[in-house]
Amino acid sequence: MSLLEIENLNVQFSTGKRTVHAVSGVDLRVRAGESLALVGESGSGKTVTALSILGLTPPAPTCRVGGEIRFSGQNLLGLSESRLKAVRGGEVAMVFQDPTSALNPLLTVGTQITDAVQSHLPGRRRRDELRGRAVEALELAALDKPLERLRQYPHQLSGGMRQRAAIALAIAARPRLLIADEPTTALDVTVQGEIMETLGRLRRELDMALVLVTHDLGVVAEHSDRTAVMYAGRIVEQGPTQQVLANPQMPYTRALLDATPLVGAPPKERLRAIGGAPPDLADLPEGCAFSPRCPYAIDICRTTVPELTRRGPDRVAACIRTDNGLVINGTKSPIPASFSTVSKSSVNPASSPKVLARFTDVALHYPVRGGLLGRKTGYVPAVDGVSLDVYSGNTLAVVGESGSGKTSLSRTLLRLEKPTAGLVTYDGIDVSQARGRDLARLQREVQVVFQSPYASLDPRMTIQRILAEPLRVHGEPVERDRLARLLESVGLGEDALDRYPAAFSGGQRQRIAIARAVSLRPRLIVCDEAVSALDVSVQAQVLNLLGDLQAEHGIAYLFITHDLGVVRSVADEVAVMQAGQVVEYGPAERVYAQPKHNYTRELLANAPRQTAGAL
Amino acid sequence: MTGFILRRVVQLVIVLAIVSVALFLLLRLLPGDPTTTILGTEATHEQREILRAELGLDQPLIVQFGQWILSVFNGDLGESWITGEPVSAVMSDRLPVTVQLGVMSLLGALLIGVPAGVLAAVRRRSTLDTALTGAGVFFLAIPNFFLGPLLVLLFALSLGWAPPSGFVNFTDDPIANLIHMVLPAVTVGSMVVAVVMRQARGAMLDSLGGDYIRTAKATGLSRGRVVMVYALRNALLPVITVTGLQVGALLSGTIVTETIFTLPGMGSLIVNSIFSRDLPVVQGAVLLIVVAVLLINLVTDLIYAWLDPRIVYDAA
Repeated sequence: MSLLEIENLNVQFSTGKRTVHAVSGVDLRVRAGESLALVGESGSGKTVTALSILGLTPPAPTCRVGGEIRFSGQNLLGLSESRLKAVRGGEVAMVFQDPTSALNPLLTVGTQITDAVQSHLPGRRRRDELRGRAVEALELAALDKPLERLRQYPHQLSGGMRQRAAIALAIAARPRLLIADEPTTALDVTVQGEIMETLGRLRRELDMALVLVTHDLGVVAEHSDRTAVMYAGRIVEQGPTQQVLANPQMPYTRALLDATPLVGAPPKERLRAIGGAPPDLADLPEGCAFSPRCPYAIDICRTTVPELTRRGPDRVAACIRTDNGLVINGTKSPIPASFSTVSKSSVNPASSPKVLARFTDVALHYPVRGGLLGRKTGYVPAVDGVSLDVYSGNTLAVVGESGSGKTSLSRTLLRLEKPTAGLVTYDGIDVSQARGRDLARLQREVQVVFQSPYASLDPRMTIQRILAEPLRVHGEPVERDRLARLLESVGLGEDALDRYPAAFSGGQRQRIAIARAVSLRPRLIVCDEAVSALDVSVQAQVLNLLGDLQAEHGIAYLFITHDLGVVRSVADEVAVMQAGQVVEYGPAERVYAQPKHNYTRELLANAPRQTAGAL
Repeated sequence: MTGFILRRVVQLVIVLAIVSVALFLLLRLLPGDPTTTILGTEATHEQREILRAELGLDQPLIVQFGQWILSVFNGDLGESWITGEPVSAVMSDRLPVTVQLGVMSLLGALLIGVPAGVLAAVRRRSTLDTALTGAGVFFLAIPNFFLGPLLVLLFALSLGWAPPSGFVNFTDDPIANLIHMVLPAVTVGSMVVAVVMRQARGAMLDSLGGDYIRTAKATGLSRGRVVMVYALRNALLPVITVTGLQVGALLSGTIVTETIFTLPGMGSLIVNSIFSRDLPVVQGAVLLIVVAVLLINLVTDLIYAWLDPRIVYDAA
């Protein structure tokens, strides 16, 4: 018998006049001890599905949940708050994405775990009994020195340790089902693997079922028995993980696999991006929600919502084309055409690239102040003796985990920080000393695209004003035509000019941010985690766009990222940073094929190498 | 922590120095001659000159200031020009009244404002929330020089539940003392209670929407524990900041209110002394209030660190 059975789950959010159909008619089954991956991009309804199992969706009338969620035969929807309390943590527990915000910052780890233990035990328990159970939970979650951890606050732990504490909190009352919502997304690459390994071990040791909510197909491939793929609030494909990934029956699954940047891919190759953007859940297209983006869609796909049909034992998929015999297995989705009209051959890679920007022994130390008068009492070396070159028309990828100093380094080139020691030059100009015409050149020719397109575009300015601003600052004409051409170069229409950032999806916003960066025809763009906040399918589009712009205009990129897979398609050179220092630096080919430093090897080992084909 | 306190004390001394200069000069700018208020309009020019010399008013301003500040450092705030009593003695009679008024109104504001804010947040968008928020806006909008007489009209003159004015020492008759203090305390505290409530409601809504609250719910904690421990503790931080900032407003409220209710506190002392140009008393009283406000803000910061383990004032 199934441990968890979800039948015809519907979740709607109402805000004002809009009704968002977050989840539509979802059926799911999880057997005892099994691991089910719930895969999809942001907005696909996977997290809402997970939250409704525990009754953690917002209350009515904002959110309405319909259908049935049975756990061990008991319908969880419509349970009283007190009955639900016993299920939460006791039967079904949840681990959330960001352990920094998921733990209460003002309570010790011990208090939070003992509270969770106590709430599932009858009567008031003795303090040492509760503490004993908390220590046990911490040990199960593989957190070292559990007795010491009990007394610590979340901010005293590292990211990985915090997630272990959150896992300990979730399993403290020995649930039979653990829901992990993107448990590794907020963590550094080298920690991700360890956390997943711990979750897998706990599943076996505690005989617990696992629902793994994720967008990362690499994680899915390694850590789940079965996979359900969600798109626009519906399940579009479900079955044993190996079969789903090796032989997808829904073009979306295929496209998702193809769009995933892999470290094993050929260098500087265009990614197979999925065109378009995920649909608006308040205004779904008629027919199959994926049809506007689907390379195989025919007329009937645009009028009829496909049912999930059987595709073998324990396998279903919702696609009219494959149901009628279309084979998408093996045929990779077509590589989308480039936005630019200039063909790739027009780039001139033969002309030997010259050094455009150079970091020479750059150090950046942040002072630590203390004492009676706030004097400097020490410093934190964010960047320590880094020497790197960015060549014109090339891409230098600086790869490292959070705190490695990669962003601080880029800030010295943008004049946002003055290096404590060493020299940063751009085309012969000393960046920190630049004045007058040199400074104007620097500010025009070096641009930046930041990580979050939600934070980097002023929500109260129209796209027209956003794009015109840098032009106006540098005294250039700002005709509407010119702005429209800028938008066209990033694949957006002129009608976007009069709208505000809120009208655009994350990927579209990042295109606008890129349009703004290229408006002054820069020679170098600093991309600081420029695709990290984007979904896989959109990430590939933006990476391709950056590649096209480079091919067309010979722009150089300083690409800051934590993800070696992402930069595979753009990097000419790779520098790996750790603790403020460059530990590996060389041509991308060499670094990927023969990493010299242990840390690079570790990063590569933890990056997705392949997802589907070779399983 | 000691380093932090030491730094703050140094800052406090600097602020005090600036305030004392400003205070001294501002009072000297007051129109009117102190000798006129002391001797009356009939006094002769010679009589005034004698008094002026006696009070040291014939000296240059800088000398006057120097003499005053030197004696302040020696713990001597000077003597009243009117009664000749030491300023410290005058204040020691008046201070307990104001402290009682301040403590009553502040405690009242916290005891009513925090639970009301929490309730409004937990029952967000309910009738109760609307009523409480509306009451908050009302008390925020109504100035205490207007609310005071209004309360007197209603509760003292019409209903006769409380005396309209006057003061009884706590040690003489505790109950009569409290009855006399209720209306003034309500008058002073009304604005503070509104500010505290609004802040508590907003902070509580933020806190209840936090990821850690979702985690607490997901582990099966009771609603009571989630609200009272997991959410409230986090929500208290901004409430404490605002309360600390309100103490200054509260003390200036006592000045008006003591005058309305004829309470013999620091506020009415300052007002009366200004009218009679009794400058040593004004200087002493204002200086004392400034010290009190600064110390209370220091205490606020210390409470902050005690509530939030992430705040460490002395970076190692």
